[in-house]
Amino acid sequence: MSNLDPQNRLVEWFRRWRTPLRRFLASRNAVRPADFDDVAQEVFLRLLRYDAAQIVEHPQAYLFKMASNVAAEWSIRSSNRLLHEPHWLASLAAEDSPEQALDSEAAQREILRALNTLSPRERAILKLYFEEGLSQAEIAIRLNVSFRIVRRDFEKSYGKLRRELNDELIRALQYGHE
Amino acid sequence: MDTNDRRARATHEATQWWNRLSIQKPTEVSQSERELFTEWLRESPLHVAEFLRVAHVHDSLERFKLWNEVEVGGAEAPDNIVHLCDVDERAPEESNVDREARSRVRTWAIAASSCLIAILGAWFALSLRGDVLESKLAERRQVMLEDGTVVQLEPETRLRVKFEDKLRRVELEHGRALFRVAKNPQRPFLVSADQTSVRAVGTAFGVESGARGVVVTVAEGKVAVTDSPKAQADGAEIYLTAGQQVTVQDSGAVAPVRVVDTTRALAWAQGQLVFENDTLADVIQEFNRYNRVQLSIDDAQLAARKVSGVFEATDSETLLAFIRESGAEISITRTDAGIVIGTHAR
Repeated sequence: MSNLDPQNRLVEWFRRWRTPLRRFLASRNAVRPADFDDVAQEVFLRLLRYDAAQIVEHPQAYLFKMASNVAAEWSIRSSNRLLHEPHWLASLAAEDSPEQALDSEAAQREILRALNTLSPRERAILKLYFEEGLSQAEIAIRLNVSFRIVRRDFEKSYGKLRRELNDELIRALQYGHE
Repeated sequence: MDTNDRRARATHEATQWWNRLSIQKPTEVSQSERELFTEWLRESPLHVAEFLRVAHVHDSLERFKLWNEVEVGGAEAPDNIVHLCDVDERAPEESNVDREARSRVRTWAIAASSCLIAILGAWFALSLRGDVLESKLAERRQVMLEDGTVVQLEPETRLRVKFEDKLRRVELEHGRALFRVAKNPQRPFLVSADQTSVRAVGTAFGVESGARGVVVTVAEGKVAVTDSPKAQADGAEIYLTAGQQVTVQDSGAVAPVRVVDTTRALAWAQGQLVFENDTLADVIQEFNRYNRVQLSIDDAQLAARKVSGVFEATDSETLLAFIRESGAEISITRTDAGIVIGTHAR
């Protein structure tokens, strides 16, 4: 992220939503999971203040951009309040390497554990998508099931992982300490 | 009430949006889809939170490296077991029509949830052994009992459920409830209120226990009503069929069976209140059950005024407008505690 100048970055997040998403995910490290709903609440209020027509152009880009801004402001506020919070110190240390964080072995293990709570078919679908890069239509043919089932299992598995993945664990691991 | 339900639904919708916007042909998202998505985001902070969380799940999967350790045994074999499993899993899924209907409904659903009443759709599967079901002021809830019977509790209702091997018993302590009884001839369903009991096999009926005594109204099927335990022992039952209503007064006197318009007589089950020549004091008491904002009258003459009409239970503004238009010189004072209706000159 830091290798783009602000001008280019601005153009980038308007054109695509991936960059804002990355920013959001990186800044999210500074938000405690317990505070996450409050951050979302603030993002929601900002979404309401914006002109809907403008958001409609690039809804995801706006969403992630706002979320990363709010998360950043939130972390500043909470670090003023709680200077001795370990996560604040950790976020300082980790600031330049948010990308590496998830590579840590333990975070990988947590994701593996969560994946193993899914049904075999849900696991197969995610594996074919993320490892082999197949589309959902191709996965349907490969598994000899309807496209609808693939789509539904895909969505269901995200819902399950959303509940299963230990936010605190993954987040702590992102700072690289066990 | 059902924060978890709402959260689960938001998660589900968030995964659907994520799939549509980020997985399936993300470069071909139409203007109208983006409009719908924006609308959805702006409906609730919960939607925002869950969409962001799903984004996080996706990111975790993208950076996951141990796919070779993920077991997928059996998933690729198109054998009978997998096939049957497909059929089974399809059943609980809502049809596309349902889903579309739901998104249409969503707008008013949000509006309704922003009203202070927490109603509808909380289907608790309870295992009940003498359990108490209760609804509070301004709360309506639906509860599914273990036999599949659905009980709809109106505000400030309390009932006790006692299921036995040969008998399903419910005691209505106060308030009113609509019962949609699951059929089981071997196990009659008995609702008692005061001394009155109502026996049903498989039917839908409402029971109200209040100032007027016990009112039983049958919407579907047939029930047997007894006005005392003795009458029950003697087999002196009053049979009611669909469209009939009977009132057992507190004195024990049984008013003759009436033929009623059940949509009107059971309008409360649809969230409507029907009044016929009732005093404004009674009307307001009824409204207050359904709403957190409490109405009160500080004028006795006004309180005695007769009111007839059909009102949405949660819309007290319409009632106020109705009173005003009926020619009464009223003043309306809004305080933190509620709304006071008076006759003072404004």
